[in-house]
Amino acid sequence: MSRLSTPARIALAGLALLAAAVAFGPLLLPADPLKQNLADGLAPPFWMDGAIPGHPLGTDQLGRDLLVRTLAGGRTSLLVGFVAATLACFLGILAGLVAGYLGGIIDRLIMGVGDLWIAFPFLVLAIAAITVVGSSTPVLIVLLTLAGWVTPARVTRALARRLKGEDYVSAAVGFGGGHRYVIARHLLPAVAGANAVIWTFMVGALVLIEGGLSFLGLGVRPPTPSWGTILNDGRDLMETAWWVPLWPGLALTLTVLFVNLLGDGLRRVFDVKESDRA
Amino acid sequence: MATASLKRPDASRARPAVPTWLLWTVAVWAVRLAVTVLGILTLLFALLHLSGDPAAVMVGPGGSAEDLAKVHAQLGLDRPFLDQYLAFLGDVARLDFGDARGTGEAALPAVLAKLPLTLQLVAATLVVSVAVGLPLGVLAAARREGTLGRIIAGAAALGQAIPNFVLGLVLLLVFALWLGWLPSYGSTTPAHTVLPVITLALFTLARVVLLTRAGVIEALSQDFCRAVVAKGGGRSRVLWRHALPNAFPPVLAFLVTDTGYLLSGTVLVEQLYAYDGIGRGLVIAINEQDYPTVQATVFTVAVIVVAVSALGDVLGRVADPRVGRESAG
Amino acid sequence: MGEVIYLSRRRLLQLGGVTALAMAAGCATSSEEDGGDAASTQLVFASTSITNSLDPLIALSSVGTTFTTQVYDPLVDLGAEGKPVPALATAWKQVDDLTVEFTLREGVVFHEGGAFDAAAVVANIERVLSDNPAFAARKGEMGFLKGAEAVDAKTVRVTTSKPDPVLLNRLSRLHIVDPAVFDKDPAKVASGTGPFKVAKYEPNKSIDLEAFTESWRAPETLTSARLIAIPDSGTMTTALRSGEIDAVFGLPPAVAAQLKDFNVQAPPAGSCAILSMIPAVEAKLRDKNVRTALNLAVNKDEFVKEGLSGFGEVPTGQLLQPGYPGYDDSLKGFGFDAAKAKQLLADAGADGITLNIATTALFKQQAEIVAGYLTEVGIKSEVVIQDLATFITSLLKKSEVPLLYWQTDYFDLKDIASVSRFGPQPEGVQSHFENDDYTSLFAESGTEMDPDARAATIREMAGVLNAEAGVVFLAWPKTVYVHPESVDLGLTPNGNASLATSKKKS
Repeated sequence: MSRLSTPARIALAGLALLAAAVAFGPLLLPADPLKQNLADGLAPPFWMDGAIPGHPLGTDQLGRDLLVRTLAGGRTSLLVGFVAATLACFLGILAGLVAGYLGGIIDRLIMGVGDLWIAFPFLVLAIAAITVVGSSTPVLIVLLTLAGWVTPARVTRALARRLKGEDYVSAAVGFGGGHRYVIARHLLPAVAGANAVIWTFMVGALVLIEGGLSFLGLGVRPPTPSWGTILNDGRDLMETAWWVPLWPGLALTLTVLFVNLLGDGLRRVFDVKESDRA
Repeated sequence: MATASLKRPDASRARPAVPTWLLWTVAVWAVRLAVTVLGILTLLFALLHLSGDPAAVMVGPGGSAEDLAKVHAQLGLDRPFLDQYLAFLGDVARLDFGDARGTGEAALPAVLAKLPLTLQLVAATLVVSVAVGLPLGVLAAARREGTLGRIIAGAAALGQAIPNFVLGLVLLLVFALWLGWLPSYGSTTPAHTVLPVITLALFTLARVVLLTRAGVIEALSQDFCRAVVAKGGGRSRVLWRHALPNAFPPVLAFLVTDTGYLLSGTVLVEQLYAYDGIGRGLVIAINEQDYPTVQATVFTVAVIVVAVSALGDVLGRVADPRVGRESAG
Repeated sequence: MGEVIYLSRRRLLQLGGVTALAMAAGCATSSEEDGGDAASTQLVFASTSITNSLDPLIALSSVGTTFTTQVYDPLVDLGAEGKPVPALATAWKQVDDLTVEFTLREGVVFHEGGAFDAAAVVANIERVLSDNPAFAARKGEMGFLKGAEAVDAKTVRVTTSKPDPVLLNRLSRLHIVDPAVFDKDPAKVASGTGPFKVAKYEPNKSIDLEAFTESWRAPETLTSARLIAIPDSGTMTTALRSGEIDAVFGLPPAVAAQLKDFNVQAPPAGSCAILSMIPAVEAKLRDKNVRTALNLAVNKDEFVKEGLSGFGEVPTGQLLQPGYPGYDDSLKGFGFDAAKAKQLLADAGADGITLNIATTALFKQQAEIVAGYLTEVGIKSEVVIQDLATFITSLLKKSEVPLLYWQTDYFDLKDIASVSRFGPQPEGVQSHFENDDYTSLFAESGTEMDPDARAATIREMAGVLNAEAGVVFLAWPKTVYVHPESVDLGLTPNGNASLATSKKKS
C-alpha cells in the first residue's frame, strides 16, 4: 500500500482550495455576480490602464465583476462537470465490464446501444430535450452523462475482454469466484487506470459542452454564470477583451490539471495494491 | 480473394483464404449495422417530432397563427404519428430522405457531396494523433519520473483542457492574420484543412498520449515485462515490443469512439473556419428544421460509425489475438 | 476455433494505416481551386450565413435580401422614409380600391435573355399565390393580394380582395423571377433583372455573382462579387483584417464597435426592439402599473449606448420611427426611473414577481441586459433561450414564458402593418396586448385607403399603446456594415447592401 505521491497531494490541496474559493468566495466578496453596470463594461484587470477599482480581474460586457462571476460560475460548473463525469464513468464502467466479461448477446446488445448512441448527433437530442422537458440543472447533468458514457464503456470492455483471458482471472473463476467477485476483485481495479484518465478528460470536456449548450438554451439560464457560459460570452472578444474568457478558461484548465494529477496518483496507489496482492 | 488464392494455391487449399471468424464478424456487423441504423432513425424521427415545428420556420416570425396552422397541415404534420413514421420508413428503405428545404435538392446526395470534406478532417486528425501520440505516450511512460515525461504528460493534460474555439481563434490570429500563411475561412484547398485539423487533433492527440502512457506504465509493472527485463531484454525492446501493445486496446477503443465524436464534433471547427462539411450542414439544417437533411446526415454518420466500429472490432482481434479466438470460437 | 490466421496481424494493421492515409490523400487532391485571390474589381461580402435558396420567394430574412437586392428587382422599391419609388414599374395608378395599374419599364431583359413584360409579372404573382408551403412566409407578406392581369405587354393590373393601403410596400417584397426558369427550379437557377447574375451557387457556403451589363441598373465598377457565409464573428473579423473579405454584415455590435480602423455604416433597421408582455402567462401583466414599471425599469439610453454599442436610437414610446406614416411627434419615451418602477410594482402587489424573458440565441445578450435591469427593481428574471422554431411558435401561438424579446419588423414593410402580432388574432392564440381599441384600430388601418385618415388611425394606435404601456419599448436598432477604407459600400435607401453602387479601390 503506497501513499499518495507529492504531485497528487498538491493537486488535492489545489482542488480543495478551488472548491473552497468557489463555495465561499461569492459570499465573502462584496460584488454581486449578477449586478450589471453597463457603463463599466469591459474594464481590464487591475494592472492595466483603465482598470476600475473594485474589479481586480476586470468586468465583462455588461460590467459585471469577473472575479466574483468566475467564482460563482465555478459552483455550477464544478457541480455539473464532476457529477456528470462521475456518473458517465460509472455507467460506462458498469456497461463495459458487463459487456466485456459476459460477452455474447449481452455484449452485442450493450455495444450496439453504444454504437447507436455515438452515431447520434447530440445537438438533436439536446434540442429535443429543451422542447420537451425544459432546461434545469438536473436535465443538464442527465444530458451530459448521456453524452459521455460510451467512451469509458468501450475502453473498459476492451480491457475486460483482454483480462478475461489472463491466467489470474481464469484462475479466480476456476476457484469458484462468483461473477461479482471476479469483476469487483480483479477486473475493476485493472480498468481503473484507463478510466481515471478518461474521467479527467471528461470533467473538462463536459464543462465546455455545458457552455456550448447554454447557448442553445440548455444548461444554466443567463444571467446565472458558469465557466462554460462566461467562456462562450467572451469568445467574440478574444482579440480585444481577452480577460473575459481568460479567467474561466484558467480556472477550468487548473481544475482539469489537478484532477488529472490526482487521478494519476490514485491510479498508482491502486496499481501497487494490485501487485502486492499478486 | 482470388488473387490471394492464385499467389498461394497450396495455402488456399489447406485452409480458407479468409478465416471463418472474419466472415462471421462481417455477417454480425451487417446485421448490427441494419439494426443500429433503424434504431437511430427511429429515435431521430421521434425526437424531431417532439422538437420544434418546421412549419414555424417556414411561416416566419412575421406570419400569423392561421398561416402556421395551414402550413402545418400542408406538410402533413397533423397526420397520426404512426402514419408519418411508416411513410418515413418506406422512404428510408428506398434511401429517399426527401428534398432539402430551401434548395429543394435531394437531401442524401447533397450530404454525400459534402462528406469527403469532413472525412478528410477526421482521417487526418486520427492519423496525426496516432503518429504523434503513440511515440509521445511511450516516451512519457519511459521517462515518467523525469522532466521530459512530466512535461509531456503535463502538456497533454493542458492540451485537452484548452477549449478548442480558443485554440482555433489563436491559430487564426497567428497563422491567418499575423503570418498570413494560411487562409482563415473556406474549404476548397488542402491549405484550408491545416488549421481545422490542428484544432481538432490537439484534443484527440492529448487523449492518445495519456492513454498510451497509462497502458505502458501498467504493463511495465506487470510480470511479463519484469520477466523480459530479468532475462536481460533491452529496455527499448521491452517498451516497444512488450509494453506498447498493452496500450493498444484502450487506444483503439478510444479512437473508435472518437471517430463518432469527431464526425459529429467537427461542427465546431466547421463553424469556426466556415468549412463546408456535413457538421456545419447539420447545424444549419437543425436551425431551419430541415428534417430531410438532418435525417440524411444522421443516416450517413450512423453508417460510417458502425462501419468504423466493425473495423475496430477486427483490428482489436488482430491486435490482441486472445480476444479474437476466444470470442469467435 | 483452431484456424490459423492467414492475414497476419501486422498485415492488417498496415492495411488499416494505408487506407486511412489514402483516404486523407484522396480527399486532399480532390479539392478544386478556390477563387480566393480576388481580382481588383471583385468584392467579397461576408455575413454569418447566406440564403438557403436562390428563389426570392423562399429567400427571406436579411441575408435573403442581401442576395435578392443584387440579382432581382421588384415592381416598386422603397426609397427614403419608406416611400415607394419606381423599379421595374415606372408608374402606377390606383384604378379603384381593389386595383392598381402598373406601367412597366421598357427594354428590361432577364439574365437568361428573355424580355421582361406583363406576362412575367402575372406569372410571378400567380406563383406566390400558389399553395406551396415553402412560399408561406412570403405569401403572408402579400396580405390581400388576389391576382394580376396583363392589359398589354407593358401594362399590368394587380388586384386585392380587400382595399390594401400598403400594397406597394408589399410588392416591394415580391422580386420578379424569369418565368423561363420556373421549370428549372428557381431555388437552384437564378434569372432576374438585377445588376448581377449568379455564376455559381454553393448552398451554405458562397454565391458567385457576375456583372450583368445589360441590366437596367448595371454595376458601376464591379465586374464580379462573392457573397460568403462565415458563421463565427471572430473568424469574420480576422478575415476582414487579413484582407480576405471586403465587407461584412451581421457582426455583433460590440465587435463592430472595436474595429476602429474600419468604416462602419449603420442605417436604421426599420424595426423596434421590444418586450412582449403576455398576460395569459402572468396575470399581473394585466395591470397597467406593472407594464409601466417594466418600461421605467430599463435605462434605454444606456441600453442603446452600451448594450447595442450605440448602433440604435432610443424610441419615443412608439413602434414606428420618424418619417413613417402615423409617427406621433408629441409622444415621449418612458424614461428611466427605477425608484418609481419599484413603487409601481409595490402598489400593484407585484414586488418580487418572477418574469423570465424568452428569446433566440441571436438576442441573448440584449435579453440578458434587460433581465439585469428588471433584477435591479426587484423582479426575478432569467433568460430562456429558444431555438428559432420554438420561439416563433411561442410568438405566434402560445408562450410559456411571460416576456418575449424580439424585433418587430422582420418584414421590411416599413409600416405598422408588419407588426401584425398586435392586430386581431384568431381564437386560442395568446394576446400580447389585451386592448380591444387597439385591435380594432389595427384592423381599420389595414383597409383605410386615404393616406391622411390612415396616418391618423396609426397615430391613435400609437397613443393607445403608449398610454397603456402595451409593450416595453427598448430601441430602434440599426443594421451594421463594416468595411475597410478602400471599399465604398453602397446602400439602398432601404438600408440593404447595394453592390451595383459599390466601389473597390485597388
